[in-house]
Amino acid sequence: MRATLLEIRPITGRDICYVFRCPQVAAAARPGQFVELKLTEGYQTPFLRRPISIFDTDGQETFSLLVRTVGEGTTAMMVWPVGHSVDVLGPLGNGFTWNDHHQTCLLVAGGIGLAPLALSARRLLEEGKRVRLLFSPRRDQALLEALPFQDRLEVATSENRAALATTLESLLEGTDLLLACGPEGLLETAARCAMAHGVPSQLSMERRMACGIGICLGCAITIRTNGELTYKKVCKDGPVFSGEEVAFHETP
Amino acid sequence: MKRPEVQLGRLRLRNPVLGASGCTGHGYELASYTDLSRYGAVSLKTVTPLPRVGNPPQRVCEVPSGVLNSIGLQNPGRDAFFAQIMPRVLECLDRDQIIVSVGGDKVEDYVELCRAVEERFGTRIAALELNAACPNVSHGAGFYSRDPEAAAALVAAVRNAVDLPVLVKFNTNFPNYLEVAQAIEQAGADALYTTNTPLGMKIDWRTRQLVLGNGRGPICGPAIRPIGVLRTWELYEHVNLPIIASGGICTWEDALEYILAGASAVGIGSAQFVYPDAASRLEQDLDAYLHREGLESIQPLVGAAHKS
Repeated sequence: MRATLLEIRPITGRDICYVFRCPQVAAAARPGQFVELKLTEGYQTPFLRRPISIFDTDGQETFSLLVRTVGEGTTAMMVWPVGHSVDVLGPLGNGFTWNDHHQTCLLVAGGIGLAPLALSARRLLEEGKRVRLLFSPRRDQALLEALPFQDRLEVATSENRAALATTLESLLEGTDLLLACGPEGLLETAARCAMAHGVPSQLSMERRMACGIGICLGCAITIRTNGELTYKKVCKDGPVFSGEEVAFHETP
Repeated sequence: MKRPEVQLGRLRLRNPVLGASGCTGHGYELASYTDLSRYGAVSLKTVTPLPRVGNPPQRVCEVPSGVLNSIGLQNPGRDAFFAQIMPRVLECLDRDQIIVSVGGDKVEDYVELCRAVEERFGTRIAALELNAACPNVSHGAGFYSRDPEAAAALVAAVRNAVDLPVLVKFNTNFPNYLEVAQAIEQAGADALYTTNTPLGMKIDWRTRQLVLGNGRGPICGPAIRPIGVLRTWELYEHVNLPIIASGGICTWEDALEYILAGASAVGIGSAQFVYPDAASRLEQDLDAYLHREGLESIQPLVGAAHKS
């Protein structure tokens, strides 16, 4: 499937929002899902696709990706002109979910971990829910400019990860559901604090991936199910897991 | 258009393009991305007698023109494979397309598991593949690719125990691999499946640490194709068994190169990580090439480069 680059919106010195036209992805995308982009033609370097979270979609024609330029693949994207056509697989993965009981939602974003939470925020707001966003670290908050509906969110920031737990304490009061994405240290803190407050949490996890569709078993993550540790696939069983089941620092 | 069938010992396949074990899942994962009927066969992800959790992350890493991987034969073990995986496989693939890949430590592990697979699914699958190649396990598999006597004993024991065709996937990275191949031939295998995945390592200079959780792992992808072509060439000169070759095959031209070196069929691996329909595309392209050349099968091309 091909997607055409429609617009390039620089957000910060290293973060860029890429808007693509691809009705199949735009119409099907759910919050927390991702796409696998082939950054070059054929089998040229980089060989593997790159999994990137879906940042936003209009639900019909276009979707966008908020990308931090960090490596070979994301650097290659920077030279793409508007009109560039790229091979895309997706939307992939399970995504975030909620129900009618979740009226007040807290989104916890660590840096570029903001990307998969944006569409959740949009959909939650559309459903009339109260949405609060806790962003860390504060020095990175220029990234929030990427959010098209920033003024409708209650935004709090945390100085850094060390300060996160304290900030979370106050925000978890009255929260029905916590959704988070970011570095694992942040996710672990978020899950632990949520559990202590009896708030259900969902974490969007990251692993190096090869295929993105469940055939290579490359993206293993340790998950606790019924007290037992097993490897699950981030691409297919995730990328979103409940905070209770992610077994940080453990192996089966 | 006539489909180019291929004969590998007692095994007859609808075409010479296989999905390689460990890179094709169980076939059904790919159903929504590709035309599964285009596969000559799918070698399922290797099953072992007991569940294996697999190696610790990080398991994959991009290297120039390829992937380093270290999965460690993760599989749910025989019982879950029979009860949960095989029913789904039988729904999405035809009998002649299903190859069950078997792994183990001791010869008895392979024999018992092959026997159990045949008892339960013998009339509904095409062949058994002995995984004597996987370099990602501490004991067992790779062992049979190093020692001609051990390889022969394994193949003979399985051949005596079952009636299904037996393919032997072995590792060509040991200096005596031609001797091992000859031992496998004499022990009665139907075909040799060459896996050409030399081990590699990646170190992150920033963290000064090994990238793979297991430290080392095989390299797959286009990076290793010239090695695979040479191994196939050498095997063709030293054994009469049909050769199924794999190692960085992405396009029909790559497949043709292996065929000219001596392969009777080809296994598509990591190309499917990039394009889930890589094998079916390749099969159609190869078919179109044969048509252009006025050939009904690849047979006249197998090993054809040796004559010049």
